[in-house]
Amino acid sequence: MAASEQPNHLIPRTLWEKLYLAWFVICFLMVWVGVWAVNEPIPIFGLPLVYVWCSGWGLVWLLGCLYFGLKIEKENPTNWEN
Amino acid sequence: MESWHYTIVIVAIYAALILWVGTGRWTKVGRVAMDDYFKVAPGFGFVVLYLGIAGGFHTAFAIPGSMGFYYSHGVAFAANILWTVLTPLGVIYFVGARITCLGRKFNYITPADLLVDYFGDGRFRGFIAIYILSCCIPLMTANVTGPARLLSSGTEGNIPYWAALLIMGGMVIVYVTSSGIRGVTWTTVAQAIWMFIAVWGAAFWCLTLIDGNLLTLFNTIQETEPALLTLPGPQGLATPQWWTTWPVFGIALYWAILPRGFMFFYSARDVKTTRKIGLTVGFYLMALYLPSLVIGFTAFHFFPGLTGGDADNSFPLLLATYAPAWFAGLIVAGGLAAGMSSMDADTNANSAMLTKDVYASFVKKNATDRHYITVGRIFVVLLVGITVTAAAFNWGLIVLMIGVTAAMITQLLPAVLAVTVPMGIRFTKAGVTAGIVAGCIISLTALLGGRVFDFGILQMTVPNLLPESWTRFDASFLGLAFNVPITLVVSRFTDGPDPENVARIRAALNEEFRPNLK
Repeated sequence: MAASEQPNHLIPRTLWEKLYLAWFVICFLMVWVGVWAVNEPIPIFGLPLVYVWCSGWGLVWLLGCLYFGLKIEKENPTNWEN
Repeated sequence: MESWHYTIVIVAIYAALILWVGTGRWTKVGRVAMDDYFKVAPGFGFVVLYLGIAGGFHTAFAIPGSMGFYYSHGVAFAANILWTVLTPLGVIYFVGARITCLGRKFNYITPADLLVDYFGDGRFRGFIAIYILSCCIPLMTANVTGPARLLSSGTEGNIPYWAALLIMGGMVIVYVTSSGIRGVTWTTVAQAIWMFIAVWGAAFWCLTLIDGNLLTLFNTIQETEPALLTLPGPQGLATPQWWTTWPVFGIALYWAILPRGFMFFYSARDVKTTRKIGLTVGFYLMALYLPSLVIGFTAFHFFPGLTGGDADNSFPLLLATYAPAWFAGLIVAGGLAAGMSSMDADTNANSAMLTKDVYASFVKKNATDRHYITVGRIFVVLLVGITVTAAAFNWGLIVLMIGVTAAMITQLLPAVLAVTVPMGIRFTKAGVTAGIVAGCIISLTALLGGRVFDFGILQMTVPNLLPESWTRFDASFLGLAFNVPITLVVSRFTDGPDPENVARIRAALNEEFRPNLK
């Protein structure tokens, strides 16, 4: 089979896979780039703002991708056979 | 009893527990086979492998390294959130699950097995094995140094540093030679639980030292060293160049493709298990590093002004000065757990590579599995011996060597992705080899350029070949920036892998990850 006929595994196929990827990218950017917008010595619950920002988005990132990942597992036909 | 006696008693209880867990009947199997010694042929289920990966991926950086990092660079350490989440949700979930798929389907044992099955065997196997081994020894050495210092200072020097190294090395030899990956994984389960309790326990204890109020701690830091509360930190480490490259390229992308990662992925019961671990292990990883801020800042509050190695030792100093002896023992054992949980996993993985990729491929082919396992055990003793001996020297280079490990392992990423993620791009053996070599040279030049190494009779200065502005970026990133285009260009003009191998591997991946495509 020619390379062009092979499915490209980098491209998400289902809605849940697309949502997983979109959520992943948004949260990643919020931690990676967004941190420079909150780089002030301000306490939030007694903790530095940057720290709370990163941890907060990290948690949102994990929860969202866990939700979408479980949806992907549910619709995966290879799991139906087990 | 003196206080350090309590510490020794608790560490002895920890050691006995680990040896019992690592050599118990649950670590034994009836059959003698390489694929059931270096990895678990039937596969581990979710809970055991979850804690195995969670603990196994932690180095001495967890305890006491992370606290020292917060002490020196403040909230810059929040960059860790990036890799504690990106690695599980990106690398483990997406790439790790594919390594599990191929490993189970084709019974791979070492990282080189996966690469040579796609690109072709022969000298390429030896190149990959030696390349990986050469970058893992410094990491193993660095892993035992911190916990050994913690044990020595926790017992007020009554257990000397060298004896602490021997204790750790001896324990690892006992359970890895006895039970292989099963001993590694079961002990790591216990170690993951212990170190989690130790870190959170230490954070709550630190809060009691500062009247239980986080705002008091914040205000104290703002008065004494406000630069700890924002980027780039007091030493100017977390520049935008550093922040955008180190956590992603310097840690997240290399961390899961270390040899120990492959062994864990191969030992998953099925793809679903690895994917579930990818979705959830980030909660453990992130939670382990969150309390480190409280500990690091509390250490700064009580002992400001420490620099270099003393800053890394700030948490042990806090323990030795203020903690009750039994509590210090609990934390010291937590530090041992952090160091040993990765040292044993690395030892097992490197022993597997030496046995299968070097000994069985180039020295003695077609021997029995019993013979290879015996050889593997000898390599375990040898590797621990090298690690402990290297750690006994007071190297100022250890932190640098961890960077070398990260930079070199990251250069394997294009090759791993080429095998595990079909994407319509041509990769060849010559291409990935050229990319790895070029990436390695560039990243090592970035790391070592301009440094002077004094070997007594010989003093050597590594030439600084890269523009100074480039070296502000992480070395792994710089290496990949050269590695990827060179891989693609060379692959364009060289012979591709055997089409039958490619088709077989892609069919396995399509069946699992694109099940409705025929």
